Amino acid sequence: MKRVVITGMGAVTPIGIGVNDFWEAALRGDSGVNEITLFNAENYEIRIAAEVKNFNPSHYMLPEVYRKTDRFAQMGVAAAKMAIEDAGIELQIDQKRNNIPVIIGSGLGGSLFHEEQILRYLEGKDPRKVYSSTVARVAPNAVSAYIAMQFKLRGPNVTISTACSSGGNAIAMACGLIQSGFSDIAVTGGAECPITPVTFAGYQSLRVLSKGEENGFKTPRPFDKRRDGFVLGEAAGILILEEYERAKARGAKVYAELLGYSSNCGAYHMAAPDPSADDAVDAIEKALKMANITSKDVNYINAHGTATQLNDVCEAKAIGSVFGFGSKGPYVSGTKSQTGHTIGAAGAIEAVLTALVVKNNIIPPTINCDELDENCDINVIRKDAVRTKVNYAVSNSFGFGSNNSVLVFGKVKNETGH
Amino acid sequence: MPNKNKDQLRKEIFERLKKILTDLLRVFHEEAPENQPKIEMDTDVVNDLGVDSVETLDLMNAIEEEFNVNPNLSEANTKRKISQIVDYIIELSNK
Repeated sequence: MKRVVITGMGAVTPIGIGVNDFWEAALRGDSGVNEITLFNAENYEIRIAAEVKNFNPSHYMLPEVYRKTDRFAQMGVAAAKMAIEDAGIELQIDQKRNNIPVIIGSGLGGSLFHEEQILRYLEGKDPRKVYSSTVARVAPNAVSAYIAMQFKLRGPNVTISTACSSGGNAIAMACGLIQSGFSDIAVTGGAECPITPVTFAGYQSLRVLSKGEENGFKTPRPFDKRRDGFVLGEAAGILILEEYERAKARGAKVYAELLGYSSNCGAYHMAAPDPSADDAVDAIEKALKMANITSKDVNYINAHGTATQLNDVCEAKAIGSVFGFGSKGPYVSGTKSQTGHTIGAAGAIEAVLTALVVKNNIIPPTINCDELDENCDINVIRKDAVRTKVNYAVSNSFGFGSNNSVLVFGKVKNETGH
Repeated sequence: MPNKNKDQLRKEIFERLKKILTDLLRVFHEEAPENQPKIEMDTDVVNDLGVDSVETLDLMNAIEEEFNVNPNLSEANTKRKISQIVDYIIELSNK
């Protein structure tokens, strides 16, 4: 099995655009939550979301290209551009002939344009009002397709849609393609822009969204006693995965090694996690096994941590039973406390962050977690970032449809194990 | 003065066509005016505006509705300058 390292990263998030801004904001404990500006939310019970501020697609693509794309695809291309530039591989790509896969996660695809077209149709129940470009813009694979078109990436082009674990699963599949020797480089991650009138209303109706300040507190609050749901967010995160020997030969900068992954399904429910947490435990254990490490080796866990009642209890149960309960277990933090829940992008931006934790030996905090829920008895970093040696880290993504994905990261070791 | 009437008609159709194109090619969430399409009589919709085959269909549908005409796809594909499209619309209206 070939080894896989991360040599480039890009991120568009509610707390910062670009990997450096995202990382610094995460360490400071910034919150990306704001009153909704992307649509008029006057009539909504929930009026907060985690929007990406000041995103200008013209910095990353031509106007005649981005006017044909939904916001989620624009963010995906933007993050891909950052990652490809960061890795320094653009000039190495043979534009006519290459086998570079683009594997991207997106749970919903082009919601905004889809909803706009439905409204155009409903105005006069007139099908002729619907744009002929609708299918091309709404399709979830518009994001992987536009990344391929912009950078001439001619390998397998796939968008994976497994709700909140889409980004994690995409990275897992891309990793497998390099491990197996199919390709020596891959572009992977996730993109999602769900803050649109109908999609947002769907989440509101599902009663998974936090009321936040209306309830008199800051939100979202993963693993906190008073948590009341997640804040919907938008983002894109892209990673360049590269075969270790190739990266070494060209003297590439390496963030971390992607040592293992798992992907499984609890086969339980479309929206609720299995309270036994057996499927989550299984996913974590399988990923550790592929990485060839034990639970004792792990120093940090980037939790799925949505701040819903059900997720956090089940996830804490899974983490506790694999790694140990209480303050003796490895450090845990929840990025969604800062970025909101960015659905199909979540696993990707959290992979970016986890790789940075491994590289820099600093762990960002879980904000708003003032009083740890006794039913979530794990070692959550709650106030300030913690500086500690991180040799191995795990990132969890648990999605609707009992769909789980776990990634294991580690510092790059040479052949002698040092 | 038939010529003056024709000029006036072309100008009027140009303005309506410009509005259709501006709506169609508008850039979402975009504040920068320099990135919005610039549309003049001698603008080439393919070379200057980047209209592709899918957008051509949207443009035809919109013209059909706005001017109550029935453009032919293969013929429409040969009209790339705004002035040619204006004349084509006049031609179709007179049919």
